[in-house]
Amino acid sequence: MKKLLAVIFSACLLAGSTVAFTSCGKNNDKETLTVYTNAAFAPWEYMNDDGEVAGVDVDIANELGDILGYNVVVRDVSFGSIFTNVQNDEMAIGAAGITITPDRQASGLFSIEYATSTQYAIIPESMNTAENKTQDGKLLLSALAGKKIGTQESTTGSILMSDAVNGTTDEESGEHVKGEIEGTGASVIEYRNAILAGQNLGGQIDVVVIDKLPAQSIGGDKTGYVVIELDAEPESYGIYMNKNATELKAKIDAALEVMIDNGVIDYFVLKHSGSII
Amino acid sequence: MPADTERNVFEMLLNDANQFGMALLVTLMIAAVAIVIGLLIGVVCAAVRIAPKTNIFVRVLDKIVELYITVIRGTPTLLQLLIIANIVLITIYSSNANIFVPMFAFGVNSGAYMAEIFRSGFNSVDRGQLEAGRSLGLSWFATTRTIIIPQAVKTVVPTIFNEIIILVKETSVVSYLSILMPWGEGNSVMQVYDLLGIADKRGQATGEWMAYLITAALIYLVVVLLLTLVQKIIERRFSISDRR
Amino acid sequence: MIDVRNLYKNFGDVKVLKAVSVSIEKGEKVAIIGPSGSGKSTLLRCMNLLEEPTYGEVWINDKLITPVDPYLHPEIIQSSRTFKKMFETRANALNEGGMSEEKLSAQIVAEIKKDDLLRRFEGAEYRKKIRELHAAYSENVDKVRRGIGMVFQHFNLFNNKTVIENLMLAPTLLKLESKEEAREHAMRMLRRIGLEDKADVYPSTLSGGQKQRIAIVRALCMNPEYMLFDEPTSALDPEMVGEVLQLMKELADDGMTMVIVTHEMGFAREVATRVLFMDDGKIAEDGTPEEVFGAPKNARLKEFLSKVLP
Repeated sequence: MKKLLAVIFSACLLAGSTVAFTSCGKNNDKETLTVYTNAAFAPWEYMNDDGEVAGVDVDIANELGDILGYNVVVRDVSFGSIFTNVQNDEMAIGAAGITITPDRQASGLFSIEYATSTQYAIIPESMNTAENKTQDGKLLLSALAGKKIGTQESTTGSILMSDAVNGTTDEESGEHVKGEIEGTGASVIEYRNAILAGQNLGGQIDVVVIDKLPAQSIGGDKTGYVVIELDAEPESYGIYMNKNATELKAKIDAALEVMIDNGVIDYFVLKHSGSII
Repeated sequence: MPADTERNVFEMLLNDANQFGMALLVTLMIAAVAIVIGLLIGVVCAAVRIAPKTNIFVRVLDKIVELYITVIRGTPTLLQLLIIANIVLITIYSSNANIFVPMFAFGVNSGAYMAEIFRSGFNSVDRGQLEAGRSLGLSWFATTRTIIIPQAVKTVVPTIFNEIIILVKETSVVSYLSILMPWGEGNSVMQVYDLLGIADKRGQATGEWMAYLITAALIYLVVVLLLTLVQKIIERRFSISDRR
Repeated sequence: MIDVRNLYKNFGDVKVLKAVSVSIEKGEKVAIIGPSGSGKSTLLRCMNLLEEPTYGEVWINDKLITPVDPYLHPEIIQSSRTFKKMFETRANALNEGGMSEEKLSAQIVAEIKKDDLLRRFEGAEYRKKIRELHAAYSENVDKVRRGIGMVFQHFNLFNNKTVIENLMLAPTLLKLESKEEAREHAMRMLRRIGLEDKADVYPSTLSGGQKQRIAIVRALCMNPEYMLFDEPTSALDPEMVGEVLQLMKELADDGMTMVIVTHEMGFAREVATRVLFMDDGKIAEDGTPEEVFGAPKNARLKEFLSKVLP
């Protein structure tokens, strides 16, 4: 869906249409907060059996609306256009399991992190050896040297693996920082969704690196494979906001803090964990 | 948007120039091979469609070609691509060098349109030209080769160029697939992206989605303008031979 | 000899020719006249198979160029299953006397012809007979067409070729003449019609009269035995009709066998040795110009002539 919408969007743009951005109308009694998400990333957001957008992020958004007194409207759009929409509307937020990265921080504001994602790997049993693991049983990144690694595009796992294989550029000096498995012959292949990655396991790719829940759903019943936590710095999810929405950010940060402290977010995660892609 | 942000975006895009260049290469490569495949399929199918239906073999072939053209023209390109990748060429698609899949899929797609272009080009030539050739004792094939095709080319070339331009743009739906090339050390593979694919990916990663998409759009536009220029030059040459 | 036997031509449901038979001997100059839609052009176009007849046969110099039409051959009808079945059931008529075998056979053949009783599959013997006849008499149509020149209403010069290329194309492509011979031949022809200075121009620059005269000599470059003309002056401006008719007249004087579909009654009267009047898909009158124009018998012909003659 993402790419298809992208095609339509650019067409609209070139036709000189500005209608595409008229997304939010003001409500009389309550101010409206438009929440952009991309329902293809369970359990954070997905289409439920009734065809409605559901998920942890949606519940968080509704909770935010209750706490801050906003009329919440959820819009399911392509992942890329979440950024575009928010950048054009100060009363819009992006809640879609968005990983906080320096690049994205330059284009908008992020809330405090409200969740961390732990990445898991589906690996063949032959790789499940003591020297490939840390003492507490996590898979070392170095174990992925020379492997073909499948990921879901634009997810934390994808960014993590891409950095490990291709290296990064230091913000200050502009110098290349070598990735942990760069130059080992390892490569990353992105798939549109986790199921496609699972299908190609053993064919195009040797291992899959992905969030915990999809990893368990794909790798759990695959014979000859094991699902194992990856030893990597966890990435953080944040709510994405317009660059000028400093006031809104303050309110949302405060509300998120309350929700984290009270275990509301943990509850939401638990609630949606039964729903796998 | 504040001025410093704009400069940042510009720098960001400049940093990705290599990736855009690579993606342009992928787009052009897919389009070029697809055009060759499409032209071959188009010529063969058009020949079947216009050939005199003198025996059952030609008639059956004609029906098959008709079905092929109907199906291709009646279904979206993206669906054709997905079906070819995941059913028809599934083995190649799951291999480490699957760029052949979109090349083939777009070739099969444009082959149908090119067949129709060739056929209408043939039909645009006055029927009397064929009759005159036949009345002199020339065979259908000889008349078609020496009289009809040289005249049909004139109407066909500009239309074929249109189809090529459409095809170059249409390859953007390939961003729906993960395209691999057997590059790098050892037996490692590398995922490659077409123009729209790289713009989408980098746009999502940086949060500057629109800026990247517009950049891709501009590159497509430049490519199409260059192709249009070539088309104009060719058309002009044909009109000169008309005035003789 | 052009021999047209029992020709039918249907365009969908429209019956354009209905049982047309005509023989044209060498040296004859035949004008075909008649109201538009009467089937004149279709008959002419059937003579070199530009139009494929629905039924009937066309013979050129005793060579068959259409498929075999079984209804025209009693011996083929007699080999059919349908015939044999009918013959058996009526055999008792023989026993009871009174009718000879030949007579019964002839009667059944006539019945089959009349009621169109032959079907697609009529047995191996029937098929074999058709195949034998075909093998014995049929000739490749492309080869036969070399001997039959055709001139069209709309000239149909090859637009992508120069005038001389138009003339040289068929003789060289069919390897009847070398390039040099063909060029010399073509130039001779162009000189004859006074258009040698147009040898290297493209047809689009010529006048209608010039185009048609070149189309005529293009056909002549194949040294044909017969020339078919399909309303050769109908698309011309009036002032150009004369030059084309003049060339055709010269051709007639040289002894060429010609079949001309035309509206030029004066020309038909002057040049033709025989005039066919066609009406409603049939040849309604067939005679010398004197008979047809001087003493028309057919009522439709009289009506037609009263309209077209001053």
